[in-house]
Amino acid sequence: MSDALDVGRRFSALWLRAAIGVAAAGIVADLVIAGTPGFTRWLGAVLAVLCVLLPASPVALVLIALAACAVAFSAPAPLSPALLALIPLTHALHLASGLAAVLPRGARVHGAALVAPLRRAAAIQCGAGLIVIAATFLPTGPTPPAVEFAALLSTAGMALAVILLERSRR
Amino acid sequence: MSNRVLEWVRARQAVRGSGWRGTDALFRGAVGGVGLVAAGVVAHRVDLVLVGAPLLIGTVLALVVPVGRVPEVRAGRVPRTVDSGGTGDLAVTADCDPGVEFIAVRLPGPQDTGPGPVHLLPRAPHYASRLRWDAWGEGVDLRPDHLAAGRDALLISGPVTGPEGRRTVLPTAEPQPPGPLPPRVAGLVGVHRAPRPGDGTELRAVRPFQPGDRVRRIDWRVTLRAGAATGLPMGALHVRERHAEADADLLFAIDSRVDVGAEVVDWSTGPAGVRPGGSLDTAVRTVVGLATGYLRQGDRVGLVDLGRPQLGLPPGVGHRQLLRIRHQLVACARSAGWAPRPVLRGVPAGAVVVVLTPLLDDAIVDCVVRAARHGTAVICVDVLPRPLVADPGTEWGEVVRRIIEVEHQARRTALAAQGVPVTDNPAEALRRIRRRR
Repeated sequence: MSDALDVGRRFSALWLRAAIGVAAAGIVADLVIAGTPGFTRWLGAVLAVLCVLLPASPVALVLIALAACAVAFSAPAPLSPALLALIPLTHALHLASGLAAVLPRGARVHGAALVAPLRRAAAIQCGAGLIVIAATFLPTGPTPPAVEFAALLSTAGMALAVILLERSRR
Repeated sequence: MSNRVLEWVRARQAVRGSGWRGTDALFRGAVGGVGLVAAGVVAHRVDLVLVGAPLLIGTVLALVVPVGRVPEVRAGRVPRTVDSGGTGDLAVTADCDPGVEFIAVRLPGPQDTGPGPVHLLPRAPHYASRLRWDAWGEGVDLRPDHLAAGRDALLISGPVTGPEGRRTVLPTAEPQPPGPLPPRVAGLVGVHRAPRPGDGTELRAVRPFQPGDRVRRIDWRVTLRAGAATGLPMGALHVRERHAEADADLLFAIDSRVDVGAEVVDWSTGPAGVRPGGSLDTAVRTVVGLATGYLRQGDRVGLVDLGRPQLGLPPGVGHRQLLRIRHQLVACARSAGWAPRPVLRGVPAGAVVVVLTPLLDDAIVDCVVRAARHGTAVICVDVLPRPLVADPGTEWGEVVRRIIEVEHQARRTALAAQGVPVTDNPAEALRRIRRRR
């Protein structure tokens, strides 16, 4: 069976927890840089620790939502450096938590297993970068009601797409 | 009635647990992504949209590819009985659709004991791992629990508990060089010189010819010399008489009532199985090494479990007897544990008994002395690991260690005083026993 993948020892799944810790610590540092209130920073730090300890829990979602709202409403400009740093950090936290959540203690990770998700994440981040570039050229000021309605419709469409795709597997 | 309700609830849970289901990551990607984008649109904050967009796009991209049917993971066949120190290849087959991105499967590796850790692997039709069995005994060394995950682990199937692969790892040891033993009275073939005349190779006597002697046994030189001495051209015929050769009975008696290591502190809290390097492990490996050597020589070897006499094996010959002994040693180790009184019975007449014990109680001394007084040739092999290490957690540790060693030495001396040789080197002691007798 020459095409068989050799299992071998590979690296510990604790490195995934370390990746969660790095991403969560980055988010907390981002909260500090963005000048968010002290309570938000402490709450973010507690959530960051919980993210490492409980990857299969909604804590990561709470931290992402908290960081996004805190940075968005604290930053003086819409596209501040703190916000630009937050985009890859939240995505990395999301991915690392997703993988760490399905592995028990003492698990080993084959490096080849991470190639596809990392490649996809890089492509998504490139797309996000393009959106950021496009956003810099958007005019500031009141949005026309038609555009706002279209944005809401497209958001609802995306939500519907997620629901339909998730249901289509059954 | 309540039991039926409970069963129904459990069945519902089992049905819900089988097949594909969403994870926290799916909830985070969908709710977080859509929520942040919607909040950004409503609140006119492009920042929120930018943070939520990667989560939402990643979730949609992950869900676009269907995960398909529930994957099946099967482990290949591994022999039920293997030798300790041996290795084997394990092939695992994963039958899954292209939408599956990861397989997390519990597989043992060469450095692992038991079923091994869970490995997160990319999707592949076949996986290969190498097994290594260092410790002998019985146990589960393969249980391919598995979980399949779609892209970004948003959807998972499982975890599924795999079927257990139980294995018997037989003890192995270097064959010890065999030596001469007292021959069996009823033995007809073998390598040990019997006192009676027979067809062996060793000269017993030269005597006058008697009716019944074979002609080819006539020693013509002696016959002619005898004739010359008497002055006759042809004296009385003389024949060369040889010793008969017979096999020997060797009985190994292991003391499975105790299994102790060098660390005194661990004596009361031992591991679940056999203690590696402990007294029972040493005894078993010694038995296997000696039995291999003596069975190759053609002797009859048997086994006695002093703690559980029903697990004994009567003496036998050949390769199958060696296999039987190795299997029975594993069975003895499985049921090893404290028994109040060691029992040594079923010893064939003329057999040499090798008792392997750590000599930690007086009952074993009484048992060995009783056997020696009945005329059985007994050798006592001391398998207590040394040097003993005192319990560092208490100031009495060193005192306890010294008391154990003094009592142990007293038992050795008592056995030696009764004419039972006590040794750490059984091969050498067995070589000496023939000379003694």
